Amino acid sequence: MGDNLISVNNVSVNFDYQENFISKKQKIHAVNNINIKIKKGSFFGLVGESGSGKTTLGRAILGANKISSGNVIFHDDERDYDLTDMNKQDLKEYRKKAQLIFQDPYAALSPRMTVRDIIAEPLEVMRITNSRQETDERVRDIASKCRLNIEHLRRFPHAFSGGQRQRISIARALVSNPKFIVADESVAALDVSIQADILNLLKQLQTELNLTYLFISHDLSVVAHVCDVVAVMYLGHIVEMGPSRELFKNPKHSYTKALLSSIPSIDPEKRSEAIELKGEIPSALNPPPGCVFRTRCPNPGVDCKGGEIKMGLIEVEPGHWVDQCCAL
Amino acid sequence: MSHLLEVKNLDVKFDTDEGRITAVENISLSVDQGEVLGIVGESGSGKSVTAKSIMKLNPGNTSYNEDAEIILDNENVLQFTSKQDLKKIRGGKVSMIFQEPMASFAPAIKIGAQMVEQLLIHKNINKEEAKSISINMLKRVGIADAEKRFNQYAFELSGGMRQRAMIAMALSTMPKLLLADEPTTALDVTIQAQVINLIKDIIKEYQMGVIFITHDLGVIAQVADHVAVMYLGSVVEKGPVNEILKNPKHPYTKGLLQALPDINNLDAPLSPIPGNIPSPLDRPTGCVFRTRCPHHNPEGKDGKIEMKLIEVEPGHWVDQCGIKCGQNG
Repeated sequence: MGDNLISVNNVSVNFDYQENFISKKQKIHAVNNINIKIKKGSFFGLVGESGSGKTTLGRAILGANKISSGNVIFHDDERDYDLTDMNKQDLKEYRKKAQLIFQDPYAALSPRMTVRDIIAEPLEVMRITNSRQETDERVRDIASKCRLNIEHLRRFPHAFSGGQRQRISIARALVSNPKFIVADESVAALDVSIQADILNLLKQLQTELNLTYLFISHDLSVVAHVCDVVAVMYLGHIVEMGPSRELFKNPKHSYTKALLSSIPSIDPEKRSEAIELKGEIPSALNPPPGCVFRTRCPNPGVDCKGGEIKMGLIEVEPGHWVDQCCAL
Repeated sequence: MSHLLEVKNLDVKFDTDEGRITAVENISLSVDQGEVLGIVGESGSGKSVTAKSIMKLNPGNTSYNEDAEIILDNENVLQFTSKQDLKKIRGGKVSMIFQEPMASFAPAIKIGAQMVEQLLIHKNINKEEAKSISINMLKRVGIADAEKRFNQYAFELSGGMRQRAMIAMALSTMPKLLLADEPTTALDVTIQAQVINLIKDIIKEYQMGVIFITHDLGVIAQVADHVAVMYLGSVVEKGPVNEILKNPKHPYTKGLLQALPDINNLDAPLSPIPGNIPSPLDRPTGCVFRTRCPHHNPEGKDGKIEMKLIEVEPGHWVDQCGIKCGQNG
């Protein structure tokens, strides 16, 4: 187990749902029976459409969502933390080590706090530093690592552009010296020219500070560029997972293939080669039995049409896992 | 043959508390029937302001320059002032599709009622006819159970479905020009592919002109015939889509293309365009891109070269400062 930082074992997350107070209580199956191992120092990508459960899984790993069954283990140097069985003290420790970067840099920063206060807040809340001087030092240190101008720390967020704000969010996430970062759609709100800058910064900080990322995104070309390992999610299930180069060069699952073909090509001569998926992602309230993708699958087999094949990943190449319905 | 839409020397300025802002400067564009003009650029480059000028939808503090012309169907839209005249363009000859369909439908009025309302305003028909046109249009854009959806509210539809309903509504008055402002940005890639195909089919079927605004060059490559690249209120390069994407001349166009992660070439480094788009309050003099230009020529750097488009290939226009910079790198 030595080189894994996070092990996610058979994790499911359900939410209770009741349309109104007289109707029956139902369960939303947001995340179903997920198994992933995130290696130390890796850039683990999670892709899928909206409603596929990416964010719920990310939050479950951070302990921000209740896990309904299964467990998540965080392998620290000295000890392992089991997220489903943690006391308050452990949870506090864990929060220092695992942090989140949000999607929208305009909504994530308080307009009433200076940049210095925003970055310093985690240190103060978690009581990591003992004096104001020490806090200031750490803030300045991380701000310069995130390529923020130290002289601008006294300004308020409204004075900054989207890209600079995202750097402030990153600095805030990194100030407690975490080992694990969940970046949830962290470049989705940015222009392409700035998106590339933030991605390069994340990569650079990874080597500099020994970070491990869980990178959640709906943009496959971004994920293909920065991630070492990618998992493709659909309706709460992982349908394919593997080293990113292998997976993008040689996709096996029809959902992955359709996603890849849907990326609009930059070449005007290569128009409409997209495998068009009919319809939309079904509701997680009553997902189709058997393979969850079969209602939209462009070429369903005889068995899977009826939902007779259960969901389950099979290793087709070393490290490359595909849901058995499409692998067969 | 005259163009369906011709924009000539358009400046758009806003009067704000902090001073007069130049949002758009000296823009000339044209769209023919059955043609898609793509406008690309970062946020703040003036894409939406340009489109809104065509319907005179910019807010009250807007001023247009005297010699600007927006000729739609042989009439100068900028000279329209009466409600009667404006009605002819807004929703009549021109329709608009917005980025966020949830924000464009009234939340407390049924979708059908909204579609019927605008048809009654623009067409000389009765309610029954308007209803059947609307339902047919909903069917045309691929909405199953159109009769049922007609009586639903916007929140009851999914994102992709809402965007389809929005397109159906925009098309039901049979406009000559369709303005699509980032219509696929809020959608997932699979749904985006569906919507792009739908828009392409409809353009072919109804032979309308389209202005397609997006920041995604991939989407542009898929739908547009011609492209205009905008930066800080100015067009820096325009021409046929093939030419612009395969043979870009302006450093900004090149920068946008290089910043885009390419799934077919994973070894290529991602190169951002350095710096940020300047505030329109301190718009650089001369070439607007010079503060971020990676290989500026000495004169361009000092802002001594004025913005002016020059035709480098037939139909391919590039800003004159950009041509020099483009040659350097």
